[in-house]
Amino acid sequence: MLPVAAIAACGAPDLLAPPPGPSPSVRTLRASITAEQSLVDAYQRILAAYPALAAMLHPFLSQHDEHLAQLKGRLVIPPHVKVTPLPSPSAPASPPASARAAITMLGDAERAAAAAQLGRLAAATPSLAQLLASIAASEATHAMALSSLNPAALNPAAG
Amino acid sequence: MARRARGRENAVGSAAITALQSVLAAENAAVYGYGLAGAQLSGGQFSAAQQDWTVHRMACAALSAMITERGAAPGAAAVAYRPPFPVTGAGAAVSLAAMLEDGVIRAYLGLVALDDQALRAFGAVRMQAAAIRAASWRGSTTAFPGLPASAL
Repeated sequence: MLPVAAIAACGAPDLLAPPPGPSPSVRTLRASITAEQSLVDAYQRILAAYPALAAMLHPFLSQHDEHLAQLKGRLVIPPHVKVTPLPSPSAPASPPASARAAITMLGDAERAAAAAQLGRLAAATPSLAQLLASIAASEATHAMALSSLNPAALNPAAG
Repeated sequence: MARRARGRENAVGSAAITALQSVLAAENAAVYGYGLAGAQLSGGQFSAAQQDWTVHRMACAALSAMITERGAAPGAAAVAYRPPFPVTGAGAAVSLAAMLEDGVIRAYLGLVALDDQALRAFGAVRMQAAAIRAASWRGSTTAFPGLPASAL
């Protein structure tokens, strides 16, 4: 039998309060998932417009698929927490005018994604922060590798 | 109460010092290793190794200062580091450079798990730079630089 004071200290849930929103770490995780999904979508749009780039871009796209799987695997939302559904991807923009422009666009998107991950570190648990920092480092290497790709050298028709 | 708060502060500080010492050790190993690698390289690869060696030497100085600021003595570099394989040609030198960067990335990842937000951000930024160097030596990128398979 616990003393009454100890029971009170456990903090009985306030029955009148609205259901709690997701914790900062869950919000951070969801923001990362949305960002990662939009990068995957960007790659897929560009591959649909420039299939000749498939061999060049596939390693990066498949690494993003791995990022997305890891992030989604960590998203566990307790049943009592109310969350709004993840936003659906924004309307697809028309693909860039050339393969070179497409690669430049992806490089910019990778750089921006890496920078945005760093902005999420503070709200993350230590283990999620490490995952986000590692993903950001991967994206930084993608941006570097994309900037040294030359689509014209691989296939003149693609440039 | 005050004593407990101070105890927690000390624990946070000592976790930071331990993590910074690990980064310093990885950076010291990189300085030594790039010396070995550079001796086997020529042309653009030699210049790249020289440039990376400088980056790691400067990092050692910065990390030593960060550790000193926190009231601890920076760990000394070893006299020599045994490479994981004989570095007798350009191919081995390039592999060694990539491995040294992997070690540096793993060490900075330790900073990212700290509560100190400035050190988290610092570790993450340094991880990106080291991952870029590793990928350029290796000629390919990876999905999770620095993370052990057991963390995935």
